[in-house]
Amino acid sequence: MTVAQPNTVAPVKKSRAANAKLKERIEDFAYPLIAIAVLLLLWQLFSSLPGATLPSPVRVVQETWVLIFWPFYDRGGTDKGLALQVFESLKRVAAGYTLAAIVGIGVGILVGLNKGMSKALDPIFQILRTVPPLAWVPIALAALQQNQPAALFVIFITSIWPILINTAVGVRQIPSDYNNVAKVLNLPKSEYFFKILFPAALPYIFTGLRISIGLAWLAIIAAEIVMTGVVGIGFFIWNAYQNGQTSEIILALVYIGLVGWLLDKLMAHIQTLILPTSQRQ
Amino acid sequence: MSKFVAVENVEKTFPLANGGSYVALKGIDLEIRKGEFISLIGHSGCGKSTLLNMVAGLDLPTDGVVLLEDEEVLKPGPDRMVVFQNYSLLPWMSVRQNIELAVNNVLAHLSVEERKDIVEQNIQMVGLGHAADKPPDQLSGGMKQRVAIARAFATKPKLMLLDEPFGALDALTRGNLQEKLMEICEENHVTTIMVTHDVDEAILLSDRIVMLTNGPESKIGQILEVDIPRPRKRMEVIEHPNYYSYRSELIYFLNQQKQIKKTASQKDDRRSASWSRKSEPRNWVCAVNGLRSVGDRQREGLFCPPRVR
Ligand SMILES: Nc1ncnc2c1ncn2[C@@H]1O[C@H](COP(=O)(O)OP(=O)(O)O)[C@@H](O)[C@H]1O
Ligand SMILES: [Mg+2]
Repeated sequence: MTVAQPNTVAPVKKSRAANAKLKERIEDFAYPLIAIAVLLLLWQLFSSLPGATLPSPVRVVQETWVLIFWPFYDRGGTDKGLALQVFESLKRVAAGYTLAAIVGIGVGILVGLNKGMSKALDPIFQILRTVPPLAWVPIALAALQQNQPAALFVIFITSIWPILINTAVGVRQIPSDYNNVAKVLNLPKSEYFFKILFPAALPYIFTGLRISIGLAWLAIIAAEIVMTGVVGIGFFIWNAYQNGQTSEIILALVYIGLVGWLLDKLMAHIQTLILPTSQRQ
Repeated sequence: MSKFVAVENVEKTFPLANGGSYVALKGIDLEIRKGEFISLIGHSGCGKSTLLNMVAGLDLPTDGVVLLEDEEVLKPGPDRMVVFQNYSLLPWMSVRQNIELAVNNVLAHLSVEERKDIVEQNIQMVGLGHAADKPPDQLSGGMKQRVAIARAFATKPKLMLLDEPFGALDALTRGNLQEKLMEICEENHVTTIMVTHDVDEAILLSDRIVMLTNGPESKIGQILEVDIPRPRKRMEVIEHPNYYSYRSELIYFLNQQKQIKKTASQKDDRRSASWSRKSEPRNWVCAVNGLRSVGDRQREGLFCPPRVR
């Protein structure tokens, strides 16, 4: 009996560990679902109180089931399904954000390498960084005259700061170990840039990119709300508000939240694909 | 040809944040012959890394000069490769790419094939053929240090500088790497300066051991010639008739420095002088513990330590 014991204990232990893991997985899914259910229930309760102004979740679904089940319908003009609206907004985000990433990383590296420039420009960056997206809209429209480029500009100007500032910090904080390796090997400038500086600053650049993708998404909603007659989830909300379709606004909010969340997850995933383990935070 | 590296009256002063300054090293004179293996030993903070960095050219002396083959060392260069304490491998490159970066830049005058051969040779030399395509993150500490050593040797430097290369490794790995390092140094006839705090490591590897006194104003307290024939093997070195006297000389020096440090801090505390006398035997107990593995015959001699020359 005593001899057989180690053999029987091991598998039991193993399956127990597996069970614990499975339980953890189920909890990861189940708990948020329970929380959502409770919230929906509370919402349903409060919206059925006398004097409630917002529709209940059940009414939202009743009033927007066309939008829910036909996300790709297209009746021309701005009358399109929510997926298409979101797609249009995402296209703008992609353009403005890409531009912000290129300029932000480029200028960030220059500022990070140059102490004087960094001292001169840092306060300006810190001030501009705090200007909210909506505040940029009028000046963008006044300067650029047209909706489309103004929207891109608003995304660009809101999302560039975290990229720029984080890149500069990343360049300034390259571990002296890596710089010493470069010095001992007498690495030429280009080799230093591509083999040491850029990869060493990459974790910081990614931090900036991840913060910025959220800001870019925030900015596009703000920009589109003000710009009449463009296809996009922002204008969709504004249009719904003007027509008194509160249920559609609520559905659009759900879309916006989900897309923002997905964008963040996407950036986090790219980050883990590219960075070596010791460089991840 | 007699002096390959010359450190002449070198002083290093660091400016401090509070506006004052700290004299780390003062009046350091040292001549190193070609092919020699030198160890720097001393208590932590005494300026070993500072001295090594000045030979590397990563830092400049505030006074005095460092000469390599009669030329003043003013900046770092690939003729003086450094193996850093924390390996300093680039985590975004594989083992092979890390070595390639060094070889391709330093030996740019060689053909692509020749460089490739050198990279592979050095990967094999430290026995990492199986891990050549792995990133450093996936290697153990000992393997990382082997990569760092391979990277340094691959560029065929005139002078190797190692800063506590095995400090972070377990005893077994450390022993293996010490023998490997000895082998490689002897094969390549490289002049080497190594910082260490391990007495046995210093004796095993060195031709001369340079002992630094405590800072501030550290200087060379003593230089010990290790007259044990090469090639050396760990077990044979331990059996060598002089081994014990070398060892106790080093330990005596280090304990003496520790004592000075202690009395200095006690003076600061305005404690009574009798306290420092009382603590004396404790240090000898430490020394005995450190020696226990060497054998009874040698342990006996500890109580009459050799005098400082
Ligand atoms: N950049 C620096 N600025 C100020 N003090 C320094 C600097 N680098 C080293 N020191 C001081 O010089 C002394 C020697 O340091 P170091 O050479 O690293 O010692 P070791 O390598 O022997 O442990 C220490 O007291 C340390 O605090
Ligand atoms: Mg040190």
